[in-house]
Amino acid sequence: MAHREVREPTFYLLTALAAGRRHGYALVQEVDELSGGKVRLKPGTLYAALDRLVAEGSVAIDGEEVVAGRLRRYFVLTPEGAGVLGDHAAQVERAARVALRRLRAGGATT
Amino acid sequence: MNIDWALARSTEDRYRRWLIAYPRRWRQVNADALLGTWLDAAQAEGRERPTGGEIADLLVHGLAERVRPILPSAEVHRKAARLALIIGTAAVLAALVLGELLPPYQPRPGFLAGVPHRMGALSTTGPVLYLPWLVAVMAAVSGAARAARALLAASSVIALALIPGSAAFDLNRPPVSFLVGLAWLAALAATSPAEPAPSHRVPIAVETVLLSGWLVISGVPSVTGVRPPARPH
Repeated sequence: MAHREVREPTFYLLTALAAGRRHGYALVQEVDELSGGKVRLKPGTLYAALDRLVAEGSVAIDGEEVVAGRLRRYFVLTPEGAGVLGDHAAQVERAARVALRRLRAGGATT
Repeated sequence: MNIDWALARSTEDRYRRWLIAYPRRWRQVNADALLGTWLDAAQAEGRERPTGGEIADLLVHGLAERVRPILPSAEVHRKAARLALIIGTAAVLAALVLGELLPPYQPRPGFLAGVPHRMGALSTTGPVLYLPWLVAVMAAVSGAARAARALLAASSVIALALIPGSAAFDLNRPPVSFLVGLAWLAALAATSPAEPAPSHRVPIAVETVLLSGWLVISGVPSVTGVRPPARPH
């Protein structure tokens, strides 16, 4: 699989979807929680990111329902999206391990 | 759940009107889903009106959807956005200096007789557009990317709004072709798929200053007039 750049908001979006299908506002909430309040997606940014991820094949639309007069569109992670997220998580983990090893070798306490 | 449908409808109308920022085809497919998310967020926070940040966010992404079909890739869009920022800023500075800040244009006696002159001494509504644009550029080169995007998106809207707005208040405005061009450049710059890298900010500032300086320095004689050298007898 070709390496794909995963920015922080995309990483948290894919991570939120890794737990199952979610609608728009649930994704906003979950990204906020997962990032410790660092990434707060506004609706325009959320749908721009979801449009791109759907076009890339990482995310798919998984139905809609109307709740209290409002349309809720659900999204799911595709197998390709799971691969992108897994590759990125492994890459971050490797980088973190290298950094910690070097810090310990240099005598720094962590 | 008890729902006040009249309140819900008026709140929805307040939010829905901003979706005009998106092209019609996008709205047909996605408007209700985005609106549902937006209203869910508003309800959770106890709001009945969108925040300024949400509106700016929607303007930026709506403009991006309008720009996307004519740009073949994100990389082309990113380069076009950089050029748009530089060229637009130079045009704005030249228009501000030549069209607004210099003394009113005084043609030579007999030259352009009868033609109305509207150059100089804050004679048009142009500064209403130029000032937010220049603040946006300063934000962009100082790394405040989000503020820069919002101000450029606002500049794009202001440029178009000045056309009917100036007429409504019977005020002079810059030419329509100039305003439409700046609206387009602002939309391109506001919707760049990536912010300028820190290493690119200084070159952008330098290129902008050079182009602006060239336009202003070469434009001043065009406006104020240059006496041709005397021919030898």
